[in-house]
Amino acid sequence: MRALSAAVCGWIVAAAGLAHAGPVVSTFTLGNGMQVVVIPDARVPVVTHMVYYRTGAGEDPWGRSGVAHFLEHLMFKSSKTLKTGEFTRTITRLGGRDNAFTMHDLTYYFQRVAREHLRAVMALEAERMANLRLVEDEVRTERDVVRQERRSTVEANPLLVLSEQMMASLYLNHPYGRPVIGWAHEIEKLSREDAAAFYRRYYAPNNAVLVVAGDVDVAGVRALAQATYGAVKPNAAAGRRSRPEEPAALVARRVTYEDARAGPPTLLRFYQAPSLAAGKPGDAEAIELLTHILGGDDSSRLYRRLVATDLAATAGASYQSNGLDGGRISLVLIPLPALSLSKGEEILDEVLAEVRLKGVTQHELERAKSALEARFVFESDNQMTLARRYGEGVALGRTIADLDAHPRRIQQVSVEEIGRVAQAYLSPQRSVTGTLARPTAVASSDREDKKP
Amino acid sequence: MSRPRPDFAAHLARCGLLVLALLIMPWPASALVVEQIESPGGVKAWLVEEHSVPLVALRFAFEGGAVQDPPGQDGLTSLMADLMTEAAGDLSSAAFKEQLAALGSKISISGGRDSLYGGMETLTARLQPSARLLRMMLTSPSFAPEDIARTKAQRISDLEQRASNPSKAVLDRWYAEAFRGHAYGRPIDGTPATLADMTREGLLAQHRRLLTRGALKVVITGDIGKAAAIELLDSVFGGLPMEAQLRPVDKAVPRAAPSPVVEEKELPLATAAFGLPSLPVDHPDYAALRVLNHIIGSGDFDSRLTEEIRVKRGLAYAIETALQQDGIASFVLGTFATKTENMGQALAVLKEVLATTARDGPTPTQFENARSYLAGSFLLDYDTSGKVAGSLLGIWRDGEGPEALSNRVQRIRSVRIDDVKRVAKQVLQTDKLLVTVVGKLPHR
Repeated sequence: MRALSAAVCGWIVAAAGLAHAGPVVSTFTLGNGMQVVVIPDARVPVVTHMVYYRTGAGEDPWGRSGVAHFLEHLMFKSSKTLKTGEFTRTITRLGGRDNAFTMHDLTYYFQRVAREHLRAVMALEAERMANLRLVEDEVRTERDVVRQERRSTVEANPLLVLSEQMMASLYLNHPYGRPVIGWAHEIEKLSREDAAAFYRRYYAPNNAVLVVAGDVDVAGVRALAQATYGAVKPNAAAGRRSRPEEPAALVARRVTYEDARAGPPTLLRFYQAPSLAAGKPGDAEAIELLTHILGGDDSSRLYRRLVATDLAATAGASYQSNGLDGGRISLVLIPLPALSLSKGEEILDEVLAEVRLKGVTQHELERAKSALEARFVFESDNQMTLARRYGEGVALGRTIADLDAHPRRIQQVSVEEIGRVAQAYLSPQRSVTGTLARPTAVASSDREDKKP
Repeated sequence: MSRPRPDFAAHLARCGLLVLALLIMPWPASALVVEQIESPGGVKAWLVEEHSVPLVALRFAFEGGAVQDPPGQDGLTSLMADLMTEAAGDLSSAAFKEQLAALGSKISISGGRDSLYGGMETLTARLQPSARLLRMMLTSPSFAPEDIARTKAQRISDLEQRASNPSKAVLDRWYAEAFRGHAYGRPIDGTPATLADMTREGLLAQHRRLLTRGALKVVITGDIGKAAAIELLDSVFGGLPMEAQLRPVDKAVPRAAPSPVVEEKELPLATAAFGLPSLPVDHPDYAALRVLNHIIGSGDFDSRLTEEIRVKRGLAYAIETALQQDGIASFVLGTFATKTENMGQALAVLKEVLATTARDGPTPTQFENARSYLAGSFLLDYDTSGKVAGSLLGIWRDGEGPEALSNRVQRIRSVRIDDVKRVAKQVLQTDKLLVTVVGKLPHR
């Protein structure tokens, strides 16, 4: 494939105010409905190749939590023309790396290889999109692996147990309340047919987005994509998702978890919030700035009030803005021994109440905008992060122009808008508060009952 | 996800050790020209100019680290590093953090086992004010009493958190057991008892000893020219004293133990760390050792340990090994977790895999695949300015020049299967194994 000159592939420096707008990203659609996104990055002769499926744990059938993630594991087994393990073995031999991730809304598979191997990885990925083979014995062993994955990630970590329980409490009706990896008792019953049905229903080119980032040009990617993915048949039923909606949030929820393995006492709080894909225009950008001002760095309000004053080891806030049906604001507080969790929560609530009542200052807003501007450029320095930014955005139905406008929209947010979203979305009835601590006295025989 | 995130690698990097994947990079012909520069003030650096993204990344290392903690002061270097991003120069801790936050720049420093390392990332347009903060952090940290008290308290909370995390606790225990009696085995972040005794005077003395131009290596990458880079070196590091004041530290070899060392905890899952002495980076067989490590413990589905323990038996979600090496010690270290009742079986399979590989070596296919991967994957670590800088700093700290970028791939390409067999016999000796377990072993 011919590399474009650096001038064409290069990065565009925007005028007026913003330091940088990132690469010039193109998109087109194949005849079978597969959307393709091409991101030029000519710095090193390496490509990042990703396929996003517009499905995830949110489509796990009722009573079958974990299927989407289980299938993701099984995609690495075998296909009509690939022997067991041959997929990853081939990529490894090419000097490449690969992996995959399942989320509630999306599932993606990626490979990073030297530019000359792009065609090979596209052919491999297209093959398992069309011709996956599920062998009973392999399915059974892999189910043990997933069960083990759940044990060694979630169940080994009391904080993850707590947040899983909090999510289940935060979402009364929406599948965001179910863990992506699945509940233990449902993982244990997943069958070959569960995975096969999910694969047939959702894995199709017209339900997928292909992303190629690296030293490539659009014409070259188009030719390769047509030769590989172009041959995969679409599935008319694949595009439909229908998920139950959350009822109106009426009650502040509370989860108290005691675990003898717990580290220092910890408080987490989640709020249902809009996301970039679901919500009024501008809300997500304002919430991103709000959470940064509240708890995004070491000069944030929570840090100043709780950490700089020797009351807490950690106090912070973050915002998950990339959900299809909504986002989440998360707060964390780990008090130092002199401060009780309940007193810490009071102070946290004071900080939130002040923001809701009085909003933020112009100075704080400018500082946060400056920090997010820098963060956007740092992220643009990373090919994998770039590929995820555009792949995930497009797979969630957003346009390239929309994604490129994000830094500009951040700069346009006013203090009034921050005050409005603080008022609207930091309301207690949209939230769940979780605490983790060791039990005051534990007999070792009690412990079995406390495990999830 | 089908395979775990590289938490393990991140942990090892935190320990100031070089994770193997970073060690081999040939010269990507199309990009990446390394220039060796020196400032009038005598600060040496490597520079890679890359103007396509408007940011500058810098990585630095001071030789030294936790092995230089005075007796009874475990964790002093690490605490000192944490305190350096608090008050500095004429700025209070809050003012320092506020200025940094307003720039949106990242500045960090942390204490590893054998070095003090850190870096900066900033937009090109904000380089000057960011460099000023970096200089203040390095040359005039205040170590204000209130910052010391607060940071100690946070550290004790972190230690508690860490002890409750089996995958971290098991590695801490492995280092402590493997290097018992040697400075290398002391806890990097200290203990509540050693932290309690630390004073401002001790921190200042440690700062004076470790932060010297003589012990410093710097790599700068990104949107900056040579003249500006040279100027940057003196403006940031020029105020530090020249002479290094390091105590010599003996080489260390991890000890073996005939049966696993168990830290008993009531957990449903047992977590194990296992390690063996290996070869230093300047050993002629080091490239063959890299191929061997990939064959047994890359974590790929067909690496021998993953195939036997995960794919065939479903005993663990992940089992990986990494080559660890610095100026003091060289070893292979791996981890996995499994249900308590399966730990006996998993350890038996582990020993069996090591013993068979030592006896028979890899198959020709395994060998070819591993060599081909290691030779072909070098560029993957060169796609961000920070990774380029970090990788180059690793090469330099190994005592090699920028030409190692191409030499190391050449060395991998020239490895033969007999070299791997020889190294397997030499390194994979199960009687030299040390295993630590957090959790419980099944009753035998």
